[in-house]
Amino acid sequence: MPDILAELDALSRRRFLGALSMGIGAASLSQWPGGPSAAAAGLAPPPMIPKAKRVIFLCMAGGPSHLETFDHKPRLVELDGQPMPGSYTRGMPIAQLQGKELRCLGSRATFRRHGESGQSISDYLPHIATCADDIAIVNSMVTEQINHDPAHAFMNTGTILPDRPSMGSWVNYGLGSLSENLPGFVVLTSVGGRNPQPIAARQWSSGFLPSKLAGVEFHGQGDPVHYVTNPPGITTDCQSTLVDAVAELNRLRAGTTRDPEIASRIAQHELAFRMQASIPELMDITDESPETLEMYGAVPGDGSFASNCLLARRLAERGVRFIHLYHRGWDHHGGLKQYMDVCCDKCDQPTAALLKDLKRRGMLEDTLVVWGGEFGRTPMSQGGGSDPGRDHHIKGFSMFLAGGGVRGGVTHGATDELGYEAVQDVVHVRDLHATMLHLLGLDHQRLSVPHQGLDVRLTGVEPARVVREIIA
Amino acid sequence: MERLAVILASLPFVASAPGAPPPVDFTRDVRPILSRKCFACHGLDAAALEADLSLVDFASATRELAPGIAAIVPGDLDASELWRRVTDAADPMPPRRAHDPLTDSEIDTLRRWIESGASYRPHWAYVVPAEPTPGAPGEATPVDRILDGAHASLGLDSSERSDPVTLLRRLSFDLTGLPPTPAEIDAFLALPPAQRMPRTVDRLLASPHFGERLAVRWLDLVRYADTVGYHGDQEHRVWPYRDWVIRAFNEDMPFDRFTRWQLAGDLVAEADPGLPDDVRQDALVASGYNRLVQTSHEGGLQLKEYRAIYMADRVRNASEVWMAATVGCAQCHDHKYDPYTHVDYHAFGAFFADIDDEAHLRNPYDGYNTSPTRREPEMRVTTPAARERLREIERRRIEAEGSLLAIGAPTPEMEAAWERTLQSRIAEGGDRVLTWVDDTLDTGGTRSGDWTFGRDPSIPARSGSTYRTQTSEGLVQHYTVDTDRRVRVESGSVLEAWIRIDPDDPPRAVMLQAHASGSWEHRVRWGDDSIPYGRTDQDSPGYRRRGRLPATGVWHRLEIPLDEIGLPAGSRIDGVAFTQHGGKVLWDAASVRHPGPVPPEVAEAAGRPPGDRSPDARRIIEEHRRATDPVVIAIDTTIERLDAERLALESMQPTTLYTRRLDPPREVRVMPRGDWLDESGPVVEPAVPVFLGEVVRRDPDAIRADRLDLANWLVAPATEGGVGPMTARVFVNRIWTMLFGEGICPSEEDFGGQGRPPTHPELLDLLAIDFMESGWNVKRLIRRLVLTDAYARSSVPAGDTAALDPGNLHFARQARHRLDAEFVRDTALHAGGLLDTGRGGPSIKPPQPPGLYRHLNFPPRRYEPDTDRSQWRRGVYVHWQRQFLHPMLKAFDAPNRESCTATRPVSNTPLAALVLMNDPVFVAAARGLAARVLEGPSDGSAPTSDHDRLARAWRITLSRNPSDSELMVLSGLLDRARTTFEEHPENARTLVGADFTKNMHGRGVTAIEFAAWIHTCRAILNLHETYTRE
Repeated sequence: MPDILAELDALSRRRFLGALSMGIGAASLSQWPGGPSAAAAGLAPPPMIPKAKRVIFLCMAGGPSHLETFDHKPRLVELDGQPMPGSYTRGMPIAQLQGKELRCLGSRATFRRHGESGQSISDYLPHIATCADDIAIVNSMVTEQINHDPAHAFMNTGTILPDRPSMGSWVNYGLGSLSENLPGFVVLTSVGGRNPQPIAARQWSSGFLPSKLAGVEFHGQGDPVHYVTNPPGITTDCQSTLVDAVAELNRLRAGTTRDPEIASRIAQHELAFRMQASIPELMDITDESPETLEMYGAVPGDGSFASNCLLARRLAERGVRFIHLYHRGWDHHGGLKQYMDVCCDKCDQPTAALLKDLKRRGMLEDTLVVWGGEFGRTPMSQGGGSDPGRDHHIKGFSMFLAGGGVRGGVTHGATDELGYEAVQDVVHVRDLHATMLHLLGLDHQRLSVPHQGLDVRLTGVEPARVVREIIA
Repeated sequence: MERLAVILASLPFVASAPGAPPPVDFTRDVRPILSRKCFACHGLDAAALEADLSLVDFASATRELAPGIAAIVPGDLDASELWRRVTDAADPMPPRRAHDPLTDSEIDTLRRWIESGASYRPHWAYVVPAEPTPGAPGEATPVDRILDGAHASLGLDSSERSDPVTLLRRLSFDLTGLPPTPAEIDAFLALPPAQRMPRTVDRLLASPHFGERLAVRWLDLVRYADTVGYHGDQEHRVWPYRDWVIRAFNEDMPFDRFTRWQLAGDLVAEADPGLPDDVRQDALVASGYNRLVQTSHEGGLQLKEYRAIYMADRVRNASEVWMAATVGCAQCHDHKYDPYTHVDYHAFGAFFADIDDEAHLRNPYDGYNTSPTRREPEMRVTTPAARERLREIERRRIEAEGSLLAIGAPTPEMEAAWERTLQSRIAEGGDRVLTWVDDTLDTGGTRSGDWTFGRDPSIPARSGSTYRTQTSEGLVQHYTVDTDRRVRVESGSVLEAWIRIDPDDPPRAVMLQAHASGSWEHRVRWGDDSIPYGRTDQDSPGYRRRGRLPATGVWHRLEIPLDEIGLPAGSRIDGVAFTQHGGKVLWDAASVRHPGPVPPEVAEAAGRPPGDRSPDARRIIEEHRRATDPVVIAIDTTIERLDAERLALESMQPTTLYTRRLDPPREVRVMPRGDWLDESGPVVEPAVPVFLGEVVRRDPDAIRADRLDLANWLVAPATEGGVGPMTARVFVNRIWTMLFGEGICPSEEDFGGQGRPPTHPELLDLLAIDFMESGWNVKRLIRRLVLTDAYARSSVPAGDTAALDPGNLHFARQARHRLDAEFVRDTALHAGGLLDTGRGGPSIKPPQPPGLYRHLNFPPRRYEPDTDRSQWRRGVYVHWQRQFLHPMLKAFDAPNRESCTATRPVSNTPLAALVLMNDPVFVAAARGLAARVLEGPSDGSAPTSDHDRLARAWRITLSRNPSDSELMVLSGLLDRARTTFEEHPENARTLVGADFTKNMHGRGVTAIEFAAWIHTCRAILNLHETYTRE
């Protein structure tokens, strides 16, 4: 059954990189992490010129309101409290507002123009606004799933069919890992904010791809990776005698059985031992300068989004391909103003700090940063009282991209005058995927894996378009 | 895969004369090319057909497309348009945009195929297995004859027989998921060689661990888990289904019944009212299969969307499990590679439209965001012991009722005496007050809380001499229940209690509560709503609001007419509870007050002299006499107690998800492009894919076919209109894969056009027919396969077979693979002597890293690991959290069970290495193994030298004796560990753990010595070989 891995490796290269056969030794070498990338192994480089080497995806789980962040809708303010025209909503999918009276809710935010580009950004995001010239805002996103769990699955895998690989796995499948000591796909979730959305480990699953490509969750608090700490009473020296003896005994066994998998087992044990040192070192941000910590607003060990943004930079520096951060507080069915304050307070400054920090280190040009939720929020209000909220909304919402070959200072696409439906330059989730892959040098039509009789792609079977307008 | 294909394609050359072209086999050589490269546009999806050309069958491919033009002209390459197009260098087929050009060898195959007449054969998987030619005389199975023949003609050297210990270890892992014990190895070797395998196979097939082993892969297929899967991933309760699967395998349930019960156990039970209770229950538990879909309990979900999702889930699963088919791929359009149409998909889904399971979708806010959550319908599952006790209760109840009837009519003297008593009581007048509690708790029954009665000299008691003082920061409750003292409620009866609220420390609320007929849902509260018990938005008998708290500093009587809290005349109270939230309250006498000296209707009836009474009046008085007769009361109390016990016992029985039929079923319409919002499609009735025939309805007059018809169709022989032989082929291939590492059809999950054809189709057919004709006997099938020579071969390749057949598709050697995740765990625990062989029941929770469930919400989750022996149970019983599977299981590739998993991948990652090195469970196993070798076996043959002890640890874990070099490495590690721990005895004390003193101390073993042995045993439990099935 190890042949499955070998076959997938072989397949990936045959179908994607050109016909090159891979022996078992080479297949073992590419077990994550530590496996050199395809290029390092002397294989052909990706077929297109990559602009980005890695991705940092900042997922605002719960679905931030586009109407309070990047999509300025004066007409909606005028209609505040008025019935939502039925022409917009008839026959459209709807979540918690099923069967309720639909009324317009004008934006709770003030919008201003920022930077030389004059991008329109709300006052909820004063720090991100200072990066206006570095980011490309997409105001015409659409997705197909209106409930959180499937919407995350759709954003991450391009489908709601089970057992499909997350985009981080796809990217590592296509490009291989750059790191000797770390997985190619790392996930960090943050504490703090309002009642958090559940996030399933499925969201970073490798699906039917080999599990070495799955996202590995690093924890900001406690053991950074499961079982990375020695058992109580075992010192590092002691552990190394174990690893040595196990390797020696495994080698003796390999001599009798000629089992090629043993070599790989030995390598994985040694790698695991190295990770026991490298991961805690990586996760310890106390060696950062006070100025840097302050820029992010990070307190070492607090597990906050700020600390995780700083960790994202450290992971990027160490060669991790895909870094996925989740902040889980953005499901604002009620108390929109209150919770926008809470969430923006947690997320705005660190996001901007990450962009600036990457930029000053020269890393922004080959690091693609993506910001957004699994969907947006309705122009209609939900709940009463002094501070109502907004329901889930999939027909139009906003995200932004930066770095990694993205053209800064542009706003792409638009919703209608009430911010309901994306009407101009619509960007579907699969278009976003195609664009991300393109920036990484991957052709979304060719990055495919045979599964259950289909050539499965991240972008699926429907046509997807690279959004060239936001590419530098 | 390409490399494999090239090598295999070259194999026939070996047997043929040099230079002779190998015959083209359509199924093996041509159809895979057409399917992979052509069918996307020239296949079965009518809507996607390009140039009006289909290549799926001979007639379509050779049809005249335009005058004088046909895609294929058999035998005439140059006249074939297909040949012209695939060799057109400027504009080749398949088009460049497909990025998947034909290879030279594929083009060559097409050439030879067209030249030789372009013959088509139906896809192998849709051809009913042929009746086998009779085997050689005395031949148990044809496996060896067929495989040996193939090896000879393919020029493959078959490996020799494994050594006996390797063979025993393989067999133990395959049949039980556990390695053999040293005693079992000795017993095996002591047998005459010819008897070793047959006798051991029988022993292992009879082991209760057999069912646990088989269940692991079946649970993967049907995606069994302990949580709902979507959004909040709440727990649901369906483990009785898991236990049923294990039991079914252990009891060798025929696979056809196994199939019927899962798909339609409810209909099986309905069709046969004569089924014994336990069989009926099992059939319903098995029908829980239909409920294993992932469900969502997320607020704001849309009913019709999830209805479509659940249907798709069921179609995908049932077709993959029983048909190895991807019918689910026809959800949005006709299947591109197999003959399943878009309508077939919906018609197949319609079989499941009678599953009643939408309560949580209809009212998502009605308390479904709890864990465990509700997923109606659920049924109680009675354990055999409870069933026995319930029968006993029923017997005793009948007995008690009998003795009630046996009480004879009173004599005239007795009647006269009683009449005098009645009249004097009426004459006395006043109410009847039955004091429940006063000064002491003498009600009998069980109690909870502080029942100390006392007195503050400054506050006299209201009744009797003492009272109870309840002081609390928050919620506090005191109750007595199942009491000997019981009160029959009459019309107008009132429950009363005296309280005195401390003026300086008043509570927020007080509550009175009564218990009757096994229920506490009878409450009344004064004050605010801070007591959560039974709290509802609307007033109800289970939560009656009675205004503010009474004045403080004085005794006050709380009272509530019992009929207002759901206790009408005739109810019997057998418990009361006193609850308060915060504050200081003195509680004095509690009682039930009946109005008048006797019930009013009795007083009225007794108003006339006995001889002058109407029949009604006589009846009323006689009933009252009986109701107050101490003998009758005693018997009534017995009956009530039995009823209460029955209720309690029944409510203690676990629940499980099962299938309840919805009548009429939901309407199923074809959803164009799979869009659930589009309701324009035609209504479809349940049907199997059209090209596979029709189901035979067991009731010819039935309006529609149902799930039981579907199940029958899956297992019925072809002569009865079923596809049984094809279903048998799917299952036999799964068992073969389990025993030989690779299927005869290597794509276990997909027998369709995009799968891989079987390497030995005649063998697969033969085994399938034999399996079906044996009465679908699973153990017999396994027994036959493991007693073959092929099974016993070494996993070390002979000659150059590793190069000729790297995937071992021809089984010239045995397979070598890592154990499944559950068996990795079991093997370590087994070596450490920790494995708890307890079976069944709620899933167990071994220790797991803290915070693993931090992302779960609705509600937030807390993981409470088991601390008793059950934490050491087998992996098959571990709690399966779909979204956050235990990291140990995950690291070893256990699937999350969101969908059907036919083949688990086998990875080799540092995360798995970290588990083996650092997971506390594996450290505990090492500790156990160290203790075992330091203690020695109980027969006194304890090894005393390091070498003997190391060898024993080795043999316990690996079944074999260590070599000298291996011993040297181990003793080197042991010595180094001794030095290390001598330098740092505090580390030794930490490693040996708290149990050390209990277990090892006093046996002359120091903490340092024990620690050194634990460390050395860790090495053995980290070896590749430990978890490898050779």
